[in-house]
Amino acid sequence: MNSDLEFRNIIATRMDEVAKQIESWDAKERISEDSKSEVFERLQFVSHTATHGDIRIAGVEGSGDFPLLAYNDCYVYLAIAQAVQYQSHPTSGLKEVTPVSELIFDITWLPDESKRTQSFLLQSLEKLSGITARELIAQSDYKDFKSLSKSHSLEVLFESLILPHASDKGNLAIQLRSTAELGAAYRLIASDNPPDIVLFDGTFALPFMQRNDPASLYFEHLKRLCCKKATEKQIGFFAVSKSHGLPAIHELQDIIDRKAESISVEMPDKWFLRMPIPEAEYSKYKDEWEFGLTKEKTSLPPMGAVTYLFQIHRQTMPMRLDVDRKYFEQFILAGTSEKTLENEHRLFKMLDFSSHDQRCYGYPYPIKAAHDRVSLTGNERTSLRKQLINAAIKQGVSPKVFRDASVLTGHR
Amino acid sequence: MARSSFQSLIGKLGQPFGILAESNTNQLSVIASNSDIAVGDLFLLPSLRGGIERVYVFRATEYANILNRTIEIEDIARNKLTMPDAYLSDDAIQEKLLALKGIVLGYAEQEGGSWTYNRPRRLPEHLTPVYHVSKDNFASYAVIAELLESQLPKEGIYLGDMLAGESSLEGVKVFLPAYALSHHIGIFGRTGVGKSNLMMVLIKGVLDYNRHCYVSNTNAPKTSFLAIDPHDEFRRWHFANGGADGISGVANSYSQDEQNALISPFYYLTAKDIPGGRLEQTLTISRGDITPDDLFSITESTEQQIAFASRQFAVHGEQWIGRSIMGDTGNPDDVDEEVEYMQGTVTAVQRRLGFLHRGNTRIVTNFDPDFGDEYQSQLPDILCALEAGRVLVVDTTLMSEMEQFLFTTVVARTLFTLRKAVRSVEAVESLPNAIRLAFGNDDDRGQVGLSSLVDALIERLEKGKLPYVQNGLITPSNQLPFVNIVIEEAPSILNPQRMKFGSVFRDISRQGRKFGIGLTVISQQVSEIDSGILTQINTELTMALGNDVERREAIKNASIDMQGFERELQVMGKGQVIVTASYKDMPLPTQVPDFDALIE
Repeated sequence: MNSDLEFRNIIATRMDEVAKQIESWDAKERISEDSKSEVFERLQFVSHTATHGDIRIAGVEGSGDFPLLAYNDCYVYLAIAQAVQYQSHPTSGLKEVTPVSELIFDITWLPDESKRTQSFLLQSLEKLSGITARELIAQSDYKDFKSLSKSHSLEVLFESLILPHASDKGNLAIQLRSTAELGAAYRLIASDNPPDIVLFDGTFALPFMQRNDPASLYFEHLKRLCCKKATEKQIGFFAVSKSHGLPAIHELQDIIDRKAESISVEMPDKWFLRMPIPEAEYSKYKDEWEFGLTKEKTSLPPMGAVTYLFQIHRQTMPMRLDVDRKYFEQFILAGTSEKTLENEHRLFKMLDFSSHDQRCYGYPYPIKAAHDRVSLTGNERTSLRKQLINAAIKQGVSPKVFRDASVLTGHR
Repeated sequence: MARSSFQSLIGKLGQPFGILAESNTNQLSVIASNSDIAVGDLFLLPSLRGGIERVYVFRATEYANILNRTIEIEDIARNKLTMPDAYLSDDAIQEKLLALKGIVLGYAEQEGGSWTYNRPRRLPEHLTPVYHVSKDNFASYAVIAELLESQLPKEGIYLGDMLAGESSLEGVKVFLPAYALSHHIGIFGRTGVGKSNLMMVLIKGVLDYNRHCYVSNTNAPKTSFLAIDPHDEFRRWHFANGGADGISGVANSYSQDEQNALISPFYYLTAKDIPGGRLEQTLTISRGDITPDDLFSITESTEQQIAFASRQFAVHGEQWIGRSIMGDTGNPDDVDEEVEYMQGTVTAVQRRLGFLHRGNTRIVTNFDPDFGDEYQSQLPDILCALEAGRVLVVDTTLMSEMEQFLFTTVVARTLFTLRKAVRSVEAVESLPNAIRLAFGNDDDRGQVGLSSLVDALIERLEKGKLPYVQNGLITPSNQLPFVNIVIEEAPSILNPQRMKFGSVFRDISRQGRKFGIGLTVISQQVSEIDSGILTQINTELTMALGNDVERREAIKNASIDMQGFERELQVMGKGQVIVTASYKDMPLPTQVPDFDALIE
């Protein structure tokens, strides 16, 4: 990189300007005094949960290499995912349930020619999800939510699925990884012996839901199908996100500290706060308060979901938990606020209990375990790439095809 | 015998235990599933590198528990301590792994229809599967026995079963070849590691070998073993406590013919009085058997003292000790003698001979024919026994250290001299004279030497008790028994200081192999043994040693590379031995069996 003095000064100056922007954004007070009182009242502290009754908790995670290989006008993508199940155990806390779930994976070859790309990509998505696209669209309730803005036929929705170009690495990464991950979750939920809880690292956000056009992402349908099926089978399917995505979280922290002190809470780092549930056509329930930090975020909570902010331990930052709204209304929301709170506490005690593994204290271990099973090291990616190239050469492809232009031109 | 093919051998090994991760010529790293293994366990790595079928033998020298994909295990441990109710989830077995490190001992390769063993000059391929030689898969024992066939001969002197980790590989026997007895052996181990039991097993191994030769009527040379027993254990072993009888039991189990051929005239010599003993006798040697070289091999001395004693021997021959003790230091035949020795020198030599005074020794008889003390010694019969393939157990409990060392030295030196004399002639008729001259007995020059001993030896030669003449020809030394003489507490006489002015044992260590005579050096400390002796040792039986200095010395002096066994020497249990030898290509960890169990 060009590192002469003058250039470095320019960089430093611009960094200062950006830092000021960061500071002013964060310093902006967002929670009104009224809102602070509401938060103060609604904030809940969770008791430490060292043991748990009989429960089976699964984590799912997706990963891959996007792309695994790029040459000429072609790209090869690798997507993998796995579900890992744990049973509560008196001595080891959580004990993995065997046999281990199958590894979900596909290697997708995409030439940069749109018809073939779409066909191969769709095949891959169907393989990863374990369900055909048409069946998925038909069974999922995504279309029901989408029809609230504008109704579209199944065929239109199918034809409007966003299938990126072969070279659109970023979007393909999101689609393939999410589909693999949710495919692992779907298989678990649909199985004959599903767990009680399925957790995954993400949110219930549906990026294309708000649009009037019929465009959608494959995994959005799959996400809603998982929610729907899980609720039908009384399985808790929850999204845990390490990034809360909220500005000025320190304002919330002040309130937390104040309340903890006022009621002498033993563990002030275990808390949860449900984000206000907005009015919705598909639901009778709504919360009657506003939360300053989410006021400007119309997508929070996502459509069809309820969002909580929570924290389990000071070692981890506040996280976000998304719960399917129907599940919430059936199994958490109760006739009285006390009962609702009791159900919510039960949920977070379960999360607390599942977050005591030494390897990731403060974060649900099943998700971490799934992450560990599927994440690829640099060496593994290189090794897989080489294996693919060798396989292609064995089939008669010239090795020259795979020469790395970056290396040849000194760019790497 | 048909050799198993590569594929059939691999088929017997069961499921792979792990995968080779990293490798270089010094060390391999293996990632393996979470199983119960021990340092020292053996693993096999089949390889087809270059299209050649090889199987590598890998030995674990260290291992660690690792969690798949978890890097900072210290942080995890810290969390356990500081976080309330932290647990470690019990993941499926695949997630708990072991990282093994170790060394390649060598590899086996098919050559001419059999598996030959090679030293580790090559490496297995990347990501080779690794198989565990485990008691859970008995077939793996047969595989390793076949692969290491060239290192594990099926006959010889039985030592024990090959050891892998904590378990011995039943049926994978470790034998020392018979000729190893004449190639010098070192037995190194601290107190309490089972050296006595090892000696018992060796002694029995020698007896069994000789019996096998006798029964099969083979022409292969027999073996002889002079075993020093400082605690009088070998003869009866644990019999008094209801355990196995020792060598006495073995000897008495032989038939009369076998006893005549393999045991008699005796197997046990002691300073105790054993009236009427048949195969067990009271030991005696004569002053007339001892030379100045014998004395100065076991005591510290100056050049002047050596010179004086040598001069006494030159003048008085076999009576030099008596003459010296009595102060008879002149040369009656040389009136012009100018050499005079200082009284201090004379007194010093007399002091060193003090332990041979009547009443100070239980085994050395006076020799002064002029005063009625005739030559009385079992040495000629001891030599005949050793030349006939015998085990002689010598109980030294009632002997002083000097007596013990003197006896060992006299026997070793005398036998060595005899064998050299035999080698020095081609005509049978020249042999008696060669023997006389070898012992300094030259009538033509008026040299007495050890004439009484020589007379006794010649008499036995003529009666056929010394097997130096067969079918009218001098017996080649490679047809004489392999003889081994044990030196207990070796640092006392094999230390550099003691050997400064020469030693019978140094001569034997350097040349003994040519004449079929070897030493067994037993010591708790390797570092105290003269390096000239150590370099001549061809077989090392190394047991657990007391400290790092000794372990390093043992590794440094081993006949083959013992890299990777350093930790083993710290953790080896009782009866566990690492066998290294110049005629083997790899160290062989071996479990010496309990002698009691062997007898049963």
